[in-house]
Amino acid sequence: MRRIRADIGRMELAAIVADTLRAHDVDAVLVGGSVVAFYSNGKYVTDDLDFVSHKPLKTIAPLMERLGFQMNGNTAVHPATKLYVQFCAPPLAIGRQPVVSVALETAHGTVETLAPTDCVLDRLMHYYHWNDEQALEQALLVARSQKIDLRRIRDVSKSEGKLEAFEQFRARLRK
Amino acid sequence: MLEPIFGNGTAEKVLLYVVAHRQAYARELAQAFALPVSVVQKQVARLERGNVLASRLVGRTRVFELNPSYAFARELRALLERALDFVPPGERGPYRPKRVRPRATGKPL
Repeated sequence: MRRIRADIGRMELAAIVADTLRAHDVDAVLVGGSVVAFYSNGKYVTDDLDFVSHKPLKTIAPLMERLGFQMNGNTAVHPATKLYVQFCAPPLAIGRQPVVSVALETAHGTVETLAPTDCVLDRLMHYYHWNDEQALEQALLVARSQKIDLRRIRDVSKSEGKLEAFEQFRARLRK
Repeated sequence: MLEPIFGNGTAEKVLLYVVAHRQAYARELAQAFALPVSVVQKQVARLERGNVLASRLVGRTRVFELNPSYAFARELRALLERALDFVPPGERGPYRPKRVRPRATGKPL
């Protein structure tokens, strides 16, 4: 078993958690800030690894505890690292749309996560609904670092009634 | 009305109230329905864990609202708004609009 240590990286920890859960038929898709960190090549930093799973916490908790995590509600903390894992309620969605995850092959293993375009959309939803400027900055970081489908982002933004806010994002992206 | 769907009457009341008033805090909900605060807190916590509600701190008060990022937010809002039309007249009190316009400090009621 791979050891969780103080200097473990986000994606290595994500791969360990994903591998362990997958081995027990527990689906888990990495979402949130750690995906931004990955796609922005570390320009954004977070200690939080968010996973969406359809399995209940009572199934997930013993598996995380086997890895040395301590569960507190939906949050798993490990004594060896400041990184922590949170399990978010399903469904995996961007706004009103269901999302299909992609398998990210990392040096440490396979992690199911959001595609870059969905990662941008995920952040934009926080900007659209909560006027969260930090989320807009994160969306821009990913959009500037990865190939994204702007037309799809526009279409989803339109379906959310946020075309004007999308244009603000696009204008910022062009700068 | 929606209790068979939501599993309990408190969740129904919380969601109807939040939709009627756009936002609410636990003590306000408890007072509106004469429920123990702990009972309300348990339900809002459950709904927040499920992404149905979202919360933010306003001063020292945690305010809850329907989470616009919830995948079924629009459909849930439509269902709750429809259900509000069916609340019997005698039970409509908590869902009626509240005064939100300013009132000068010290002005008698």
